[in-house]
Amino acid sequence: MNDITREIRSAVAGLFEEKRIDRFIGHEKGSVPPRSRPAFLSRAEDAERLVWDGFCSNNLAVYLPEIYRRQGPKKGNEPPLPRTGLLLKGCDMRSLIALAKERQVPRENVVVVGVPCAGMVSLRKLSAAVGGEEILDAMEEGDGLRVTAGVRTVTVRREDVLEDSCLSCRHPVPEGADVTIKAKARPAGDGGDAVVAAFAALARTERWAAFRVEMSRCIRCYACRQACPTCYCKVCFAEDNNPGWLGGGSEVTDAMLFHLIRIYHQAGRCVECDACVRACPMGIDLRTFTRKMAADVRQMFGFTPGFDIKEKPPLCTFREDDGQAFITDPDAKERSS
Amino acid sequence: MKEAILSKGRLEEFLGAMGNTAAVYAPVESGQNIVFGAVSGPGAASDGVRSLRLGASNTRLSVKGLFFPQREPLFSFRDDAVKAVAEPKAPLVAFGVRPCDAMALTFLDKVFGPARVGSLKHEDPYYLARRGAGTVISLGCNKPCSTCFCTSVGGHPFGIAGTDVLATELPDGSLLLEAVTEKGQALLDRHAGLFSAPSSAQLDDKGRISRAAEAAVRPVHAADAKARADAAFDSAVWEALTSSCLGCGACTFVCPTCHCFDISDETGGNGEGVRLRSWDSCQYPLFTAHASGHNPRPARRQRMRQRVMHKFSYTPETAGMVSCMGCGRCVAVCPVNLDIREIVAALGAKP
Repeated sequence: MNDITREIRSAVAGLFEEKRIDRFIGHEKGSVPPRSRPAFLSRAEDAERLVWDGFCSNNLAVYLPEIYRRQGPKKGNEPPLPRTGLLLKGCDMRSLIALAKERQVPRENVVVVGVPCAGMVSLRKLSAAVGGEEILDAMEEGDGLRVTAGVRTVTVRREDVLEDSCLSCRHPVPEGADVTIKAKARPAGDGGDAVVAAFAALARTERWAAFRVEMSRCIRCYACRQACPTCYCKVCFAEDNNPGWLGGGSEVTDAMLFHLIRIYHQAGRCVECDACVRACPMGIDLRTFTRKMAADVRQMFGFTPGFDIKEKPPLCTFREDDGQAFITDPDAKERSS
Repeated sequence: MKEAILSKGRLEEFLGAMGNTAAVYAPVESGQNIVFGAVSGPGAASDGVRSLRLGASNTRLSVKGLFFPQREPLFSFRDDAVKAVAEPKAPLVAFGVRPCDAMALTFLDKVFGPARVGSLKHEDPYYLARRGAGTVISLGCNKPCSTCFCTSVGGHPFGIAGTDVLATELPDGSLLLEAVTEKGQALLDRHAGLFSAPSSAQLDDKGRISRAAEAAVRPVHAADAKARADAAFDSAVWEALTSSCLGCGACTFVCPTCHCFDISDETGGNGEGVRLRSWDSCQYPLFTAHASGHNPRPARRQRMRQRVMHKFSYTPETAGMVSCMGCGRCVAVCPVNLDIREIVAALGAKP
């Protein structure tokens, strides 16, 4: 067991014993090695199930809106809301702030155990690194991973198989956690600016064609939406049938429209955790598009979501110096991007 | 010939020859996934066979989409006039289907196939037309995955249910083809010039490979699953094992037997339109939402329970078979690693 796991277990057991939380959501070993997966705990003894490794990629903030969703109008004396303990990485913490800002989660009811993040391993990259052989297990050892694939055991560099979002992560340390575990975060990256720049350098027709090719693989299972903490609408436009915004099935134009709208609904809200990308069973690159939108929000409105609960999100306010060339002179924007 | 050998170098030729009379689909690499794609015949690129990826463990999406497409026009209409969409009858060969997927077709045949309930005859002309025009050539699994559990749910890595021809990859790289149905036999006869007769050593190889594969499949405690599931309907097991469900439909869409669909109209606003059938998922809240606003399965864990109960309790009653084929796809794709093997094993146990 690693030191971080040990410290997490003791911190979580302490939170239960001090009666500061009613439940805790962390990560446990999964059933398909080397995966870890979300674990729901309700007692101090359960803390022994918790683990921390390079496979704890699930953004656990996704469970909060469901826990705190109001079922109807307030009726006098209601039982107090549950107090939820939650293990969060840097990106997950920003999801919590985004949710608290939108009043989906009462921040004061959540006790955050934060872990400075050294980056999560991409299962797709790991699989590619061993030639597509089925991975039976992987152990982290320092800067490397000992991977059992088929009958072979190979060592790969951790840095070579990290998620792209982690390699470029700008904010790997959870800011504002209630308990911070001692761990070494990876150095901050460029936030995916290089990906956005490369995509923006393509001609408009090429960008549209690339988007179409990517979305043609979509099976409309909505794993991206369900894995996203800030996709919490009670009824998603995609399932609205009066009016029906989208056709049924896997027609590519419907898939494109779904993703365009979902991504735009995340403007000023997406914290770039890439939960959508990891959840996709078809390996669709949603990242290029979410990053582009996040970069636009940053450049046009000087806003980065997930830090200040009080700061007004850009789409809820207006400032005189807000960028508006995209309305008044869209071709100029096209030329410059 | 009932058994035939296709030597290693002649696979492309065989696929090409079948393409003269049918659209041939097989596992191909597309994007980052292995999926069924046209490799020969109508719809295939001229070098389609080059994208073939037979060695892959299993396709990301099952073969069901070839017979039950994710989006299918049922008929078109203009004002009150309805125009039938022609039933699909183009010959199709599905090559390299894993035995779990082939067995799944025997279940879908019961769902969509001719059935009588009282005086009503149910049959789905669209599905049946595709099945009738289709030939399934399955490929036995020399190397089952760690997530496979077909042997615990009535299957076998070299099972023949639902297939017309079973292919086995032999150590020398050749394929042993065994006709299972008359349709499969006719296909082998049609291309007899490409094959040679198997030696007894090759037949022995097949037996050995099949037994080794069977031993390599990890068993899952699925015995008495129906009785245990029925008794555990209100068990706390569901809460313990399905709390992490995100409520996406990935498991149902990759599943070879999940077959629930929605029907919707796509209209152009000028009185014209198409009535479509498209895959739906019991994991979505809208699936059971009533017009009144009431939803009998409001929580995700209730919807996950439905998925498991349907496969292990309800279809044994309605179709006479468990409708989980043990392909392990839902285990592999679940974003939170929710595992149907663990759920089935835990039914009846104390949480």
